Formats: sequence, C-alpha cells, structure tokens
Amino acid sequence: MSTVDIIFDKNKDGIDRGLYIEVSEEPIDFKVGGYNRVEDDNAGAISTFLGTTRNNFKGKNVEKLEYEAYTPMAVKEIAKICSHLFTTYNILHIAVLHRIGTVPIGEASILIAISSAHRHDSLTAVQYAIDTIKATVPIWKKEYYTDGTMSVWKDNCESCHYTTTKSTLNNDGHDHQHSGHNKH
Amino acid sequence: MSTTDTTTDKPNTIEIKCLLFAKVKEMILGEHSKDDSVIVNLPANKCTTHQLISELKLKYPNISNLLDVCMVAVNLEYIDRSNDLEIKKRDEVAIIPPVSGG
Repeated sequence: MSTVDIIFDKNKDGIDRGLYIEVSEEPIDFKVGGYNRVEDDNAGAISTFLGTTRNNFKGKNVEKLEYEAYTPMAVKEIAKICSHLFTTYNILHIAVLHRIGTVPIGEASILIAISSAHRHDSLTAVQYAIDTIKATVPIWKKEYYTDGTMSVWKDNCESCHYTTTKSTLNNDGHDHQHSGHNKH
Repeated sequence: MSTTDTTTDKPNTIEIKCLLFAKVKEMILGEHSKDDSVIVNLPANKCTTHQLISELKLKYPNISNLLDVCMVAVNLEYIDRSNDLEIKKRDEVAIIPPVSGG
C-alpha cells in the first residue's frame, strides 16, 4: 500500500485542506475511505466518482480485471492532479483511492471524493480528476474473459502515449493525443 | 572461482536497468515472470533515452510498434520523447505503455 495523507494548505478562510491518496490492493470502502475523509461542516457538497468493474466488453463476458501500477509514480501523478485541483477550484478536501491487483466484477477500482462549499467546484473537480487520472497515471488493467479467450491489456483512448503525429505537448511535458472516440 | 563479474559494465557501455509494466513486461519477460525489469547496455558516449528505445527495439523487434507509443519516465517523471535525454547510471528508467487506470 502506498499513501499520501497530508494537509495540503489552508484556504483563504484559514481552513486546512486535506489530501489523501491511496494505491493499494485493499477493497475500497466508500464511506471510511472516501466520504469520511472529505466531510467537513464548511462543505455544502461532497462530489464523488466511483469506478466499478463492468461484466462485459463488446459482447464478451468479463470474468475479472487485474490492475498493475507503477506505484510510486502513480501516487506522484495523482498528487500533481490534486495539486492542480486545489489551485484551480474552490474545494476543501480530496480523497483518491485506486485499487490494484485483482478487482472482481462489480467492485470499485477507483474512488474520488471531493468536498466544497458549493457544488459546482467539487462536481467540476471530480470530472477533471477522473478524466486526467485515466489519461496520465501509470496504472494498467487487464481484462480476463469467461469464454477462455486470451486476456487483454487495455488502453484508455484518452491515454497519455507517445505519437509522432498529431500530438500536442501540454505544460506538464505530457504528450497527449485525444482520438475523439470512445472504445468503452 | 570465476573472476567474471557479470554486473560490471562492458568497456564503454553503461548498464541501465529499465523497469517494465503491463503489456511491455509481458511481451519481454513472459506472462508469469516475477521479474519487472531488463538490463540494457548503452554506449557510454550515447547513454540516452533515444538510444534506450533503439536498443530495446533491436533486442525485441516483436514489440517495436508498441515501443513507438510508449512513454518513457526517468526518476518518476514523464519525459518528452522528442527530446533525447541523457540517462545516468543510477536513474530510475521506466517504459510506460499506454495507460488504462481508473
């Protein structure tokens, strides 16, 4: 298990803003792992995203998913994204938990919970967080099928990957290509 | 006793340990390998990220296309693959195939 559990900073009203990041093989507990970590009497909203493993892909039944991470870099990349969220949105606390190893069908692989005084900030921040995590954080999933056909390493269509054409370089030095279609 | 130390760099080459993940790891080391890295010998006068990719393509031509879309990370930071960055012996180098977290 690899975690970050810090006070990121104080907001303009002097409230400590907490950041919790976890990459581990532990099942994700929505309340203890996420909700409890971001709840705050100063918050008027807690926005969450829970990514769960789906039982099918293109008509094939999925048996399970296996996640692998370059854990120290994954934590660092998630921290970078959270740092961006803290400086961009008027939010209070962030918790991001990514499960790795075997994740059975129907269970959560990722939880993002963000609190804010007003809903718009945390809703927008959660959307940005999951989109960016899927594109840049070095974590991979492999799908295993019930029909015994060969398991497949997936790649997110928005994934951070190198290409010599049509690429644009963002200010983090990431090379992104957005293909504009959705394989999922 | 053998006096050969296999960990010693060959003349004018530098051994770089390269971390592998997901499909790249599986294609190079096999599906059930417990290892997660390969050693690549790079010329001392051209110990760079471009040279690393070239050497990997030479050694593993079956994943040449996959290597073309991988990112390279040095000391936990993505590097711009269009830059030919110098690698030092103790740098942590990783090949990052297209990611699929979340």
